[in-house]
Amino acid sequence: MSLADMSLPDLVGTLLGFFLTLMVFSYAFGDNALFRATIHIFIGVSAGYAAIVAWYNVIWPQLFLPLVFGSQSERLYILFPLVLSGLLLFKASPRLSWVGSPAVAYLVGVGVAVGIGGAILGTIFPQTQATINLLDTGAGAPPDGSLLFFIAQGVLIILGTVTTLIYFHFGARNRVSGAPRRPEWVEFLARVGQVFIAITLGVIFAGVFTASLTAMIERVQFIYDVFVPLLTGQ
Amino acid sequence: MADVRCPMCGKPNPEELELCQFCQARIKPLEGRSPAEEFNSPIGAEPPLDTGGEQDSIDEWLNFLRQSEDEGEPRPFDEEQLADWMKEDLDIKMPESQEPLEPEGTPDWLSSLRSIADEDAPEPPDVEKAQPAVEPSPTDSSEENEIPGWLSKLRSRRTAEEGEADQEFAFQLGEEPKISEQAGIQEDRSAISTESVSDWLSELRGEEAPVVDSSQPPELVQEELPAGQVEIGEEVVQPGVGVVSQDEDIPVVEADRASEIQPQTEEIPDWLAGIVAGGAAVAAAEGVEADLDNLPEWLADLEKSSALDREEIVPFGEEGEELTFDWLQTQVRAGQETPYGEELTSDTLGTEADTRGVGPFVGDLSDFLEEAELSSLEAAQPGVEQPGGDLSPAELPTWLEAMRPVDAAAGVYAIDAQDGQVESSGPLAGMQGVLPAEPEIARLKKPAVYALRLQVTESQRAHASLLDELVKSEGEPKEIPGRPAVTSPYLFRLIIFAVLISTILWQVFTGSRTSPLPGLMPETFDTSEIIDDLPENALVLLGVDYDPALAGEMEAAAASLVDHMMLKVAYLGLVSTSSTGPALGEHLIATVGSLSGNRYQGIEMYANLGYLPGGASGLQAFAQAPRQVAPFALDPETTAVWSNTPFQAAQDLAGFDLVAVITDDSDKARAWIEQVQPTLNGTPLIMVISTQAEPLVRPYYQANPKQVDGMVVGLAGGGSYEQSHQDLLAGNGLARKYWDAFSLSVLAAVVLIAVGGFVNLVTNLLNAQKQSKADKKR
Repeated sequence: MSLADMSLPDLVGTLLGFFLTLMVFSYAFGDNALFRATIHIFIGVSAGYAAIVAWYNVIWPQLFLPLVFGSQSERLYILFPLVLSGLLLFKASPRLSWVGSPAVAYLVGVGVAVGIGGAILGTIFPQTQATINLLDTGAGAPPDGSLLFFIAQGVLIILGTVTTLIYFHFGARNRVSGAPRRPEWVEFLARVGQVFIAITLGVIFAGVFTASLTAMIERVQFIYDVFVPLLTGQ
Repeated sequence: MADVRCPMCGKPNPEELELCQFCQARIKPLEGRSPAEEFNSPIGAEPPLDTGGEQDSIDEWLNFLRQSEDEGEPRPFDEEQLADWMKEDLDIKMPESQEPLEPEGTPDWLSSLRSIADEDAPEPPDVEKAQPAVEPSPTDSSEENEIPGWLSKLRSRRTAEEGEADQEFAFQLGEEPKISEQAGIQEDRSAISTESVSDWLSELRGEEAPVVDSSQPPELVQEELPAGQVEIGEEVVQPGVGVVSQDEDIPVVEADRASEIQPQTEEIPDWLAGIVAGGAAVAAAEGVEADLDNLPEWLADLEKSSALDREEIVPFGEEGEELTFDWLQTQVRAGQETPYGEELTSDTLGTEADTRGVGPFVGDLSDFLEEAELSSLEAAQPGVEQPGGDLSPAELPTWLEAMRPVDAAAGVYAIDAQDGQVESSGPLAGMQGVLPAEPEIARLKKPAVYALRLQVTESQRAHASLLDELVKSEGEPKEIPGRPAVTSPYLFRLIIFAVLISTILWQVFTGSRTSPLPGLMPETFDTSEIIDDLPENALVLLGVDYDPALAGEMEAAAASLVDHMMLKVAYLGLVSTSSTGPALGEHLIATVGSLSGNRYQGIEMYANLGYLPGGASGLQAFAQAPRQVAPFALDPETTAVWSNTPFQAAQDLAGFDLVAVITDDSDKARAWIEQVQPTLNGTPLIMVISTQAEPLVRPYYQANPKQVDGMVVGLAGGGSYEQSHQDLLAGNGLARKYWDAFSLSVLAAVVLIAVGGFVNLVTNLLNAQKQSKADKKR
């Protein structure tokens, strides 16, 4: 879509994005006022947008609308979150912040329960089972029959998983001379696991780099898509 | 043959020996008058100033006593009835009197008396030594040569002041007994405080009764001192006599007792007579204490005040010298420099106070305090007759002076042994220089004044000045040294940015699309298969959980997939756990529509369910009850999507045909997997994730069984998807658009990292080589 085909709001938004992108790129030459101004604008816009979304998407339709137009049961259902939300407002006052503590305690409790339950049921148990099943040729063997590759891959994953877990095992026995040290075989496997961890960190770095590089390319492409029409008048 | 006892060691010696065979002390005197003459000398005779023949006189004196004892002469008084201090005085002081004693040594003498008396108390007193100590009373100058030096000096002082001292000391007390005169003694004795004298004498009180009895028969005492009562107004205790009429200066003694007592009185030295008299007076004073009801008011007040201050009432002698201790009387007269008729001033008060060790605070008294003190002193002496009506109130006795509240107000009780402070109470009463019972720290003292100028060395002064300069320099503003405009990190950052941006710009400006897109990946293939298997008008829940910063990557990866679903005429429901998610979802739909040339209308082709608050908890709630958590669409009409759109067929997330999550955060991806995936009940879950989240999400995809059914990872995944579906996005996929620049910039980054690492390695090796060469040269 060329600039000429854009509506005025889209055109303004596009131009604003263009200049803000240039201001962010100025950080390549060091911290400067343009970069800081862009950051402040972004934070302000994000906060304002979040507040609007919270009002229009959460508070109004899920709290006040049922309270005003809902049935009696809906009103009773809303009463509990309404009270807790009201208690949270006391957190703004240092003197009365303790009033909001029950609401915070409720949030923390629910958050911890949800997090731990999800981790156990959604990660630990399934991933442990999946690791065990890596060598289950009957369950996950590829249809093409490359069993050797399948087993080698499973062994490698199991080796990486076990050695990585051993690396984070810091139990050691006290020795007469010197500092406590893990047994030699544990130390060896931990070093193997350290190799896997280093590879994983390298992969993560590569992923972060490529993600950032892709975002940068997108912005450069955006500048090009805006700048060239401005220059050519198209 | 009679033996002669050695005056020094007390051992018997043959009479013909002149020196003791045991201690070589002289037994026989070299010269001097007979002990009888000395013994019969008149009382009150002045001792000679010359004490050269003191030892000889003592020896003769002692021999005389021994002879008289052997002859059975009546002793002036029984030795057992003597006070301990008198006995010890006789035992100890006489041998020591070989050396002349000075009046200034009197406190020491008193102290030694008491200390030695304590040590020798169990031993029985030597009667032979006690007699001469009581008897001597020289009458002329020749006899005075035989008197011990300390007695001679005391007498000489008394003689010199006798004329006027008699007038001063014998001031008219009217009806008042002479007890108050004794207070004047303390003024003269600079080494002995008033309290010490009083205590010293007070201890005598318990021992003086026998002394009085020794001079008088018991029956006489009982007759004249009935039941311990003394008519103070009528009688005055006199030394060696007991009780005399106050109206008469001459002791009144019964005729039958006068022959026995009077010779004793005349023969007893003045100082001993005074002691005996003092003892009698003290005994009388005890009688006074026993019957206070019979006392006049002024005396009762004195008694009370004295009792409060733990000071003993010291009996005053009469005007006649035979009525008081001579040696004490002499000192009393010497201390009577300020007559009672003389007006008390602050100077005199200060002088008196200095003798008691409280001088520094007397000068601090204000005038009104001094006046109040004087007035109180006047009130305490109601019976004192003023010498003249024009004269100011008489000077108060020092013992009453000591009762002033000055000490308490000043709060200073420092005792300095060098000032001659004498212990005033307790078993050590009368001792000088006694260590204080309480530690120095427990006593209130005026804080010592120290010089403010520190005693520091040159090195300490140098360090102090250096520290002072350092402290001062901290407060002074300093110019921050400017950093160089171009530093190596800044230059390196510019180089990296220049390389990457030039590569990207080169590809963007050229529009090159020469680099081939990646082939079909397994996860992409699985994703494509799942979307291809979607039925028409399928319900797809699309989670938009990425940040705007990575929107470029996520849109490039997901655009073809979304377009694929749109082509399958799937109804999308957008939801996000990020507040910016709904806007990013709208932007994604708009971008896909723009790239594909299609126009995807809101609520007709998709519904933006908006923001799910609470993170993982919100996802859990949404997975359990999507209708209650996100009941309305985020559109101007706030459409109830669960009743008016295809969503009304889905009661929960399991009713959806596909759940697709677009995220750049591994935590959000894990939250979707942990909270939502278990509730899907066979509904496939696919993810479009950023490359930075791939390492943590891939295990869920490669797990057996799979927790994530398909993945599209980053720009490469999007390019792979476009490559597999080249008809999507009308061939203008974003992945394809960015791929060349991405490939070249990644290559440039690899080159940069490799070259940078190599340069770093070479630089370090060169530095290490130079360092080794330098070490070898050294």
